Amino acid sequence: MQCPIKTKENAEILLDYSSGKLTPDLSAIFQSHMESCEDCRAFSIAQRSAWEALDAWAPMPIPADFDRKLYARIDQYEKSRWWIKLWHRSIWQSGSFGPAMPIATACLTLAVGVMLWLPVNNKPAVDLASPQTKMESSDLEQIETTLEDLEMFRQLTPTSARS
Amino acid sequence: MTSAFALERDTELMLRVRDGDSVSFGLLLERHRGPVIHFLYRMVLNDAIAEELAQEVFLRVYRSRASYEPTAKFTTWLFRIATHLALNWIRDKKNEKKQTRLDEDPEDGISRQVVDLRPTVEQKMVRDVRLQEVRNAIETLPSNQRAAVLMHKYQEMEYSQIAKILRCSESAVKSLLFRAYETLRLRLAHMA
Repeated sequence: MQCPIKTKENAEILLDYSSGKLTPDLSAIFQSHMESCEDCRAFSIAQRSAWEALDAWAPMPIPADFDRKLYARIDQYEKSRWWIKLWHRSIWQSGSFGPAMPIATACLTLAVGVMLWLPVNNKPAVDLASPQTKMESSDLEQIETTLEDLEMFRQLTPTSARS
Repeated sequence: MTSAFALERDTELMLRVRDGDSVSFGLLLERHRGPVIHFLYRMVLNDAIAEELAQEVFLRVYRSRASYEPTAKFTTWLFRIATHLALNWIRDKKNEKKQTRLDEDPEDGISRQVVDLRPTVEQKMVRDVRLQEVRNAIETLPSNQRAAVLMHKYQEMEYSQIAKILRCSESAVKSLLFRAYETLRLRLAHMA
Protein backbone atom coordinates (compact mmCIF):
# COMPACT_ATOMS: atom_id res chain seq x y z
CA MET A 1 0.00 0.00 0.00
CA GLN A 2 1.22 3.49 -0.87
CA CYS A 3 1.41 5.87 2.05
CA PRO A 4 -1.67 8.17 1.95
CA ILE A 5 0.23 10.91 3.75
CA LYS A 6 3.22 10.93 1.42
CA THR A 7 1.37 10.36 -1.86
CA LYS A 8 -1.75 12.39 -0.91
CA GLU A 9 -3.76 9.73 -2.73
CA ASN A 10 -6.77 8.21 -1.02
CA ALA A 11 -5.99 10.38 1.95
CA GLU A 12 -9.55 9.92 3.18
CA ILE A 13 -8.41 6.47 4.31
CA LEU A 14 -6.77 8.25 7.21
CA LEU A 15 -10.05 9.82 8.30
CA ASP A 16 -12.17 6.76 7.54
CA TYR A 17 -9.90 4.44 9.50
CA SER A 18 -10.06 6.60 12.61
CA SER A 19 -13.82 6.93 12.37
CA GLY A 20 -14.30 3.19 11.87
CA LYS A 21 -15.76 3.63 8.38
CA LEU A 22 -13.21 1.52 6.49
CA THR A 23 -14.19 -1.93 5.29
CA PRO A 24 -12.51 -4.75 7.25
CA ASP A 25 -10.27 -5.57 4.25
CA LEU A 26 -9.05 -2.01 3.76
CA SER A 27 -8.69 -1.61 7.47
CA ALA A 28 -6.40 -4.65 7.65
CA ILE A 29 -4.28 -3.35 4.75
CA PHE A 30 -3.94 0.05 6.38
CA GLN A 31 -3.05 -1.49 9.75
CA SER A 32 -0.33 -3.46 8.05
CA HIS A 33 0.94 -0.26 6.42
CA MET A 34 0.97 1.58 9.74
CA GLU A 35 3.33 -1.01 11.24
CA SER A 36 6.04 0.37 9.02
CA CYS A 37 4.87 3.99 8.70
CA GLU A 38 5.35 6.17 11.72
CA ASP A 39 3.62 9.21 10.14
CA CYS A 40 0.41 7.32 9.48
CA ARG A 41 0.53 5.76 12.93
CA ALA A 42 0.92 9.15 14.62
CA PHE A 43 -1.79 10.64 12.45
CA SER A 44 -4.23 7.86 13.28
CA ILE A 45 -3.61 8.07 17.00
CA ALA A 46 -4.13 11.84 17.03
CA GLN A 47 -7.17 11.64 14.77
CA ARG A 48 -8.79 8.93 16.85
CA SER A 49 -8.15 10.96 19.96
CA ALA A 50 -9.83 14.02 18.45
CA TRP A 51 -12.70 11.84 17.20
CA GLU A 52 -13.27 10.43 20.69
CA ALA A 53 -13.05 13.87 22.26
CA LEU A 54 -15.88 15.00 20.00
CA ASP A 55 -17.99 12.17 21.42
CA ALA A 56 -18.07 14.07 24.70
CA TRP A 57 -20.38 16.64 23.15
CA ALA A 58 -23.85 15.39 23.86
CA PRO A 59 -26.72 16.87 21.88
CA MET A 60 -29.07 19.39 23.44
CA PRO A 61 -32.40 17.99 24.61
CA ILE A 62 -35.29 18.53 22.23
CA PRO A 63 -37.52 21.30 23.60
CA ALA A 64 -40.77 19.83 24.91
CA ASP A 65 -42.95 22.38 23.14
CA PHE A 66 -41.08 22.34 19.83
CA ASP A 67 -43.93 20.78 17.87
CA ARG A 68 -46.57 23.00 19.46
CA LYS A 69 -44.64 26.15 18.52
CA LEU A 70 -44.03 24.87 15.01
CA TYR A 71 -47.67 24.01 14.40
CA ALA A 72 -48.65 27.45 15.74
CA ARG A 73 -46.36 29.02 13.13
CA ILE A 74 -47.78 26.79 10.43
CA ASP A 75 -51.27 27.77 11.51
CA GLN A 76 -50.28 31.44 11.36
CA TYR A 77 -48.90 30.90 7.88
CA GLU A 78 -52.10 29.16 6.77
CA LYS A 79 -54.11 32.13 8.01
CA SER A 80 -51.92 34.66 6.24
CA ARG A 81 -53.26 36.55 3.24
CA TRP A 82 -53.70 34.73 -0.02
CA TRP A 83 -51.15 36.80 -1.91
CA ILE A 84 -48.47 36.05 0.70
CA LYS A 85 -49.11 32.33 0.31
CA LEU A 86 -49.12 32.69 -3.45
CA TRP A 87 -45.78 34.44 -3.21
CA HIS A 88 -44.32 31.70 -1.02
CA ARG A 89 -45.58 28.99 -3.33
CA SER A 90 -44.46 30.67 -6.50
CA ILE A 91 -40.89 31.30 -5.42
CA TRP A 92 -40.47 27.63 -4.61
CA GLN A 93 -41.54 26.37 -8.01
CA SER A 94 -38.72 24.11 -9.05
CA GLY A 95 -36.51 25.58 -11.71
CA SER A 96 -38.27 28.91 -12.00
CA PHE A 97 -39.59 31.73 -9.88
CA GLY A 98 -43.07 31.36 -11.37
CA PRO A 99 -45.05 34.57 -11.23
CA ALA A 100 -43.15 35.86 -8.16
CA MET A 101 -40.68 38.04 -10.02
CA PRO A 102 -43.23 39.70 -12.30
CA ILE A 103 -45.51 40.30 -9.29
CA ALA A 104 -42.61 41.79 -7.33
CA THR A 105 -41.61 44.02 -10.21
CA ALA A 106 -45.19 45.18 -10.72
CA CYS A 107 -45.65 45.94 -7.01
CA LEU A 108 -42.38 47.83 -6.83
CA THR A 109 -43.18 49.87 -9.92
CA LEU A 110 -46.64 50.67 -8.56
CA ALA A 111 -45.20 51.69 -5.17
CA VAL A 112 -42.59 53.97 -6.76
CA GLY A 113 -45.25 55.44 -9.05
CA VAL A 114 -47.57 56.22 -6.14
CA MET A 115 -44.73 57.78 -4.14
CA LEU A 116 -43.76 60.04 -7.04
CA TRP A 117 -47.36 60.97 -7.81
CA LEU A 118 -48.47 61.84 -4.29
CA PRO A 119 -47.92 65.50 -3.26
CA VAL A 120 -45.51 66.22 -0.43
CA ASN A 121 -47.40 66.36 2.85
CA ASN A 122 -45.92 67.45 6.15
CA LYS A 123 -48.50 65.61 8.16
CA PRO A 124 -47.72 62.04 9.08
CA ALA A 125 -49.28 59.90 6.40
CA VAL A 126 -50.24 57.13 8.77
CA ASP A 127 -51.28 56.75 12.34
CA LEU A 128 -48.63 54.45 13.76
CA ALA A 129 -50.87 53.31 16.56
CA SER A 130 -53.75 52.30 14.37
CA PRO A 131 -54.59 48.58 14.01
CA GLN A 132 -54.38 48.95 10.23
CA THR A 133 -50.76 50.10 10.45
CA LYS A 134 -49.89 47.28 12.79
CA MET A 135 -51.41 44.83 10.38
CA GLU A 136 -49.38 46.31 7.51
CA SER A 137 -46.25 46.08 9.63
CA SER A 138 -46.95 42.38 10.13
CA ASP A 139 -47.36 42.00 6.38
CA LEU A 140 -44.01 43.70 5.84
CA GLU A 141 -42.35 41.19 8.15
CA GLN A 142 -43.83 38.39 6.12
CA ILE A 143 -42.56 40.01 2.94
CA GLU A 144 -39.10 40.19 4.47
CA THR A 145 -39.28 36.49 5.30
CA THR A 146 -40.40 35.78 1.78
CA LEU A 147 -37.53 37.76 0.32
CA GLU A 148 -35.17 35.70 2.45
CA ASP A 149 -36.80 32.58 1.02
CA LEU A 150 -36.29 33.97 -2.45
CA GLU A 151 -32.63 34.63 -1.78
CA MET A 152 -32.18 31.14 -0.37
CA PHE A 153 -33.95 29.62 -3.32
CA ARG A 154 -31.64 31.48 -5.68
CA GLN A 155 -28.67 29.97 -3.85
CA LEU A 156 -30.11 26.47 -3.68
CA THR A 157 -31.24 26.29 -7.28
CA PRO A 158 -28.55 24.97 -9.63
CA THR A 159 -27.53 27.49 -12.30
CA SER A 160 -28.57 25.05 -15.01
CA ALA A 161 -32.08 24.77 -13.58
CA ARG A 162 -32.50 28.54 -13.57
CA SER A 163 -31.35 29.10 -17.12
CA MET B 1 -26.82 8.25 7.53
CA THR B 2 -29.86 7.06 5.65
CA SER B 3 -30.51 3.55 4.50
CA ALA B 4 -32.23 2.85 1.19
CA PHE B 5 -35.38 1.97 3.08
CA ALA B 6 -35.27 5.18 5.08
CA LEU B 7 -34.64 7.19 1.92
CA GLU B 8 -37.67 5.67 0.26
CA ARG B 9 -39.69 6.22 3.38
CA ASP B 10 -38.73 9.92 3.65
CA THR B 11 -39.42 10.55 0.00
CA GLU B 12 -42.70 8.71 0.20
CA LEU B 13 -43.71 10.72 3.25
CA MET B 14 -42.74 14.02 1.65
CA LEU B 15 -44.70 13.17 -1.48
CA ARG B 16 -47.72 12.49 0.72
CA VAL B 17 -47.15 15.84 2.45
CA ARG B 18 -47.14 17.42 -0.99
CA ASP B 19 -50.54 15.86 -1.57
CA GLY B 20 -51.85 17.43 1.62
CA ASP B 21 -51.33 14.65 4.17
CA SER B 22 -50.57 16.39 7.46
CA VAL B 23 -50.00 13.09 9.29
CA SER B 24 -47.01 12.39 7.05
CA PHE B 25 -45.60 15.82 7.87
CA GLY B 26 -45.87 14.87 11.54
CA LEU B 27 -43.99 11.62 10.88
CA LEU B 28 -41.23 13.45 9.01
CA LEU B 29 -40.99 15.94 11.83
CA GLU B 30 -40.69 13.13 14.36
CA ARG B 31 -37.96 11.39 12.35
CA HIS B 32 -35.80 14.43 11.62
CA ARG B 33 -36.50 16.98 14.31
CA GLY B 34 -33.75 15.61 16.59
CA PRO B 35 -30.93 15.50 14.03
CA VAL B 36 -31.81 18.96 12.70
CA ILE B 37 -31.95 20.54 16.17
CA HIS B 38 -28.68 18.86 17.22
CA PHE B 39 -26.92 19.92 14.04
CA LEU B 40 -28.10 23.51 14.38
CA TYR B 41 -27.22 23.63 18.06
CA ARG B 42 -23.66 22.56 17.30
CA MET B 43 -23.47 25.05 14.46
CA VAL B 44 -24.71 28.12 16.33
CA LEU B 45 -23.77 27.04 19.89
CA ASN B 46 -26.96 28.46 21.29
CA ASP B 47 -29.96 26.36 22.23
CA ALA B 48 -32.61 29.04 21.78
CA ILE B 49 -31.30 30.07 18.36
CA ALA B 50 -30.99 26.41 17.35
CA GLU B 51 -34.64 25.84 18.23
CA GLU B 52 -35.73 28.93 16.33
CA LEU B 53 -33.75 27.96 13.24
CA ALA B 54 -34.98 24.37 13.39
CA GLN B 55 -38.55 25.65 13.41
CA GLU B 56 -37.75 27.80 10.41
CA VAL B 57 -36.34 24.73 8.62
CA PHE B 58 -39.54 22.74 9.07
CA LEU B 59 -41.71 25.74 8.29
CA ARG B 60 -39.87 26.14 4.99
CA VAL B 61 -40.31 22.45 4.28
CA TYR B 62 -44.03 22.89 4.89
CA ARG B 63 -44.29 26.05 2.81
CA SER B 64 -42.49 24.50 -0.14
CA ARG B 65 -44.30 21.16 -0.01
CA ALA B 66 -46.36 21.89 -3.11
CA SER B 67 -43.28 22.21 -5.30
CA TYR B 68 -41.36 19.27 -3.80
CA GLU B 69 -39.69 17.01 -6.34
CA PRO B 70 -37.71 13.96 -5.15
CA THR B 71 -34.56 14.83 -7.11
CA ALA B 72 -32.22 14.22 -4.16
CA LYS B 73 -32.31 12.53 -0.79
CA PHE B 74 -34.82 14.17 1.51
CA THR B 75 -32.13 14.61 4.16
CA THR B 76 -29.87 16.36 1.64
CA TRP B 77 -32.62 18.87 0.95
CA LEU B 78 -33.43 19.21 4.65
CA PHE B 79 -29.84 19.75 5.75
CA ARG B 80 -29.21 22.13 2.87
CA ILE B 81 -31.94 24.36 4.26
CA ALA B 82 -30.60 23.92 7.81
CA THR B 83 -27.01 24.64 6.77
CA HIS B 84 -28.07 27.68 4.78
CA LEU B 85 -29.95 29.13 7.74
CA ALA B 86 -27.10 28.38 10.16
CA LEU B 87 -24.43 29.89 7.91
CA ASN B 88 -26.57 32.99 7.40
CA TRP B 89 -27.07 33.34 11.13
CA ILE B 90 -23.33 32.97 11.80
CA ARG B 91 -22.56 35.52 9.08
CA ASP B 92 -25.10 38.00 10.47
CA LYS B 93 -23.79 37.47 13.98
CA LYS B 94 -20.25 38.19 12.83
CA ASN B 95 -21.38 41.35 11.06
CA GLU B 96 -23.30 42.41 14.13
CA LYS B 97 -20.22 41.92 16.29
CA LYS B 98 -18.09 43.93 13.89
CA GLN B 99 -20.56 46.78 13.84
CA THR B 100 -21.29 47.07 17.52
CA ARG B 101 -17.83 46.14 18.85
CA LEU B 102 -19.33 45.27 22.17
CA ASP B 103 -17.21 43.96 24.97
CA GLU B 104 -19.78 41.51 26.14
CA ASP B 105 -19.56 39.00 28.87
CA PRO B 106 -19.67 35.71 26.92
CA GLU B 107 -22.47 34.51 29.15
CA ASP B 108 -24.57 37.61 28.45
CA GLY B 109 -25.23 37.38 24.78
CA ILE B 110 -25.56 33.68 24.31
CA SER B 111 -26.83 31.15 26.75
CA ARG B 112 -24.83 27.99 26.30
CA GLN B 113 -26.51 25.24 28.15
CA VAL B 114 -25.22 21.72 28.14
CA VAL B 115 -26.89 18.44 28.78
CA ASP B 116 -26.51 17.62 32.44
CA LEU B 117 -27.01 14.04 33.56
CA ARG B 118 -25.72 14.91 37.05
CA PRO B 119 -23.34 12.12 38.08
CA THR B 120 -20.98 13.39 40.80
CA VAL B 121 -19.79 16.96 41.18
CA GLU B 122 -16.21 16.06 40.22
CA GLN B 123 -17.28 14.03 37.21
CA LYS B 124 -19.53 16.84 36.16
CA MET B 125 -16.72 19.39 36.45
CA VAL B 126 -14.32 17.26 34.44
CA ARG B 127 -16.94 16.59 31.81
CA ASP B 128 -17.92 20.24 31.60
CA VAL B 129 -14.31 21.29 31.14
CA ARG B 130 -13.81 18.72 28.39
CA LEU B 131 -17.06 19.71 26.77
CA GLN B 132 -16.16 23.38 26.85
CA GLU B 133 -12.83 22.61 25.21
CA VAL B 134 -14.56 20.66 22.46
CA ARG B 135 -17.03 23.49 21.93
CA ASN B 136 -14.27 26.06 21.85
CA ALA B 137 -12.33 23.96 19.35
CA ILE B 138 -15.39 23.61 17.11
CA GLU B 139 -16.16 27.32 17.46
CA THR B 140 -12.75 28.29 16.12
CA LEU B 141 -13.40 26.45 12.86
CA PRO B 142 -14.54 28.50 9.87
CA SER B 143 -18.28 27.98 9.45
CA ASN B 144 -18.11 25.78 6.33
CA GLN B 145 -15.47 23.54 7.96
CA ARG B 146 -17.64 23.38 11.05
CA ALA B 147 -20.67 22.33 9.02
CA ALA B 148 -18.65 19.66 7.22
CA VAL B 149 -17.27 18.21 10.46
CA LEU B 150 -20.66 18.17 12.17
CA MET B 151 -22.30 16.39 9.26
CA HIS B 152 -19.39 13.93 8.98
CA LYS B 153 -18.98 13.22 12.65
CA TYR B 154 -22.45 13.49 14.16
CA GLN B 155 -24.80 12.94 11.22
CA GLU B 156 -22.48 10.26 9.78
CA MET B 157 -23.02 11.52 6.26
CA GLU B 158 -21.03 10.35 3.25
CA TYR B 159 -18.66 12.77 1.52
CA SER B 160 -20.98 12.86 -1.49
CA GLN B 161 -23.97 13.94 0.56
CA ILE B 162 -22.00 16.62 2.41
CA ALA B 163 -20.78 17.85 -0.98
CA LYS B 164 -24.36 18.17 -2.24
CA ILE B 165 -25.43 20.03 0.87
CA LEU B 166 -22.50 22.44 0.76
CA ARG B 167 -22.74 22.66 -3.03
CA CYS B 168 -19.13 21.79 -3.67
CA SER B 169 -17.13 18.84 -4.98
CA GLU B 170 -16.34 15.73 -2.96
CA SER B 171 -12.64 16.58 -3.11
CA ALA B 172 -13.43 20.03 -1.70
CA VAL B 173 -15.32 18.38 1.17
CA LYS B 174 -12.36 16.07 1.90
CA SER B 175 -10.08 19.08 1.85
CA LEU B 176 -12.40 20.96 4.23
CA LEU B 177 -12.51 17.97 6.56
CA PHE B 178 -8.74 17.49 6.54
CA ARG B 179 -8.14 21.11 7.46
CA ALA B 180 -10.86 21.03 10.10
CA TYR B 181 -9.65 17.83 11.73
CA GLU B 182 -6.09 19.12 11.64
CA THR B 183 -7.19 22.10 13.73
CA LEU B 184 -9.17 19.85 16.06
CA ARG B 185 -6.28 17.41 16.49
CA LEU B 186 -4.03 20.26 17.55
CA ARG B 187 -6.56 21.82 19.89
CA LEU B 188 -7.77 18.57 21.44
CA ALA B 189 -4.45 16.73 21.56
CA HIS B 190 -4.09 17.25 25.31
CA MET B 191 -7.40 15.47 25.92
CA ALA B 192 -6.00 12.10 24.79
